[in-house]
Amino acid sequence: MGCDSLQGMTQVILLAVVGFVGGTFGSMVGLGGGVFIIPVLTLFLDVPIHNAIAASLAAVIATSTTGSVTYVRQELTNLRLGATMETALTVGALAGGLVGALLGKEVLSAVFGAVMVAVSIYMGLTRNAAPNYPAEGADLGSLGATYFDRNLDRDVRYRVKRLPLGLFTGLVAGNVSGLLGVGGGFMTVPVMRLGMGIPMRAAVSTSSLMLGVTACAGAVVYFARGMMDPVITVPVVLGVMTGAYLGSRLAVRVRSSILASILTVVLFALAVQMILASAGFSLR
Amino acid sequence: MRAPSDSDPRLAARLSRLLLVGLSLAVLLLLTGVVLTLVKPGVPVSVSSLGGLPGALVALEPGGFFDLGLLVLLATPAARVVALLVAFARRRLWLFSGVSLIVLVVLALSLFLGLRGA
Repeated sequence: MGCDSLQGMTQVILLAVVGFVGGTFGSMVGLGGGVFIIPVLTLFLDVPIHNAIAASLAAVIATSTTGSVTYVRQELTNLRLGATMETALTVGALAGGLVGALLGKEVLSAVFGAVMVAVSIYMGLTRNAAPNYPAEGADLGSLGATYFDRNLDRDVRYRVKRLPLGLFTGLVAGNVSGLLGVGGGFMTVPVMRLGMGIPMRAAVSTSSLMLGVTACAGAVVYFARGMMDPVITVPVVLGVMTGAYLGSRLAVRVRSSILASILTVVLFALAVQMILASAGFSLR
Repeated sequence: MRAPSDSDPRLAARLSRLLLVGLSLAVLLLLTGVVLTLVKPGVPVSVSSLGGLPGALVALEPGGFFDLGLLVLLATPAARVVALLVAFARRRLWLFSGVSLIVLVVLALSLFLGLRGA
């Protein structure tokens, strides 16, 4: 085996490992994995940004689909809520793609970074707080649902509060997805949990389902324009699928407070990265 | 009122199966491309245009299987939205059927505008 082919094989394995890590943690906390994948590909593996975004969008779809196979079958996913919020996410993604050139990424990074610092601190402080669930027999509304929590060994019932907040967040998250090639779950999961009264497990699984559709439109455009390089995308996607399968299995066995802790750390790290980028210390 | 995932395990099982079929088909095609890359070193791993896809598949070029596998992966979430739209409509849940239709229209519009370079 020649030196070039050995280097090429090493690169392919590294890409698959990046996908595996992104897929595992992404599916555990309801993210697409793009927030891990894009910085690592561009910073450490010298992948051009457009190819990294294209690979990330495909990875988001792979994470979403792999995780949702388990979450939907186990009836953790709130299909009505997912369908409703997808309208805002896809409209936001379309707007993000169209007006992306008009908005400064630095400004966006600073604003979202600041918001995410606040959200991650708040999530860290409230990660063990038990949501106020409705009493047995109470009306759950048209979007409420019940699921069986294996850890608690009982049904969990919840109402969906403040849908307009969720739709607005979906618009913004979809916009960020269209601009940056990430899924947007880093915004929808905290808002669904903290603002809409949805339990962590249901928020993660519903967000997971929505991310695939959000990433779909952008991914097809990148594919059609020839920016989805198979040499980069295929190892990442195969790694992500394996990781997301593992992550979705682990997620239903891990306590919700641990999931919230993981999400808190991830959000804080991402927030720091975005603020640094806005100040000119680009990690890309 | 209870959510469909709560009251309709059959719908959940069908949707899960649809996602699994799309995912499995994509993995099969991508792995076929990986095997062909190892068997036929030096053959292009990407197809220049979608029009060249059938020819690449017939010629057992890795690029044909990579591109088709990625296309199947990309189409799977859209297929899930269609399935959910039909499921909501069959249950006469017109509001949720309508929101699923809006998602499909936005996806189609996004693709159309994106391809036009708008």
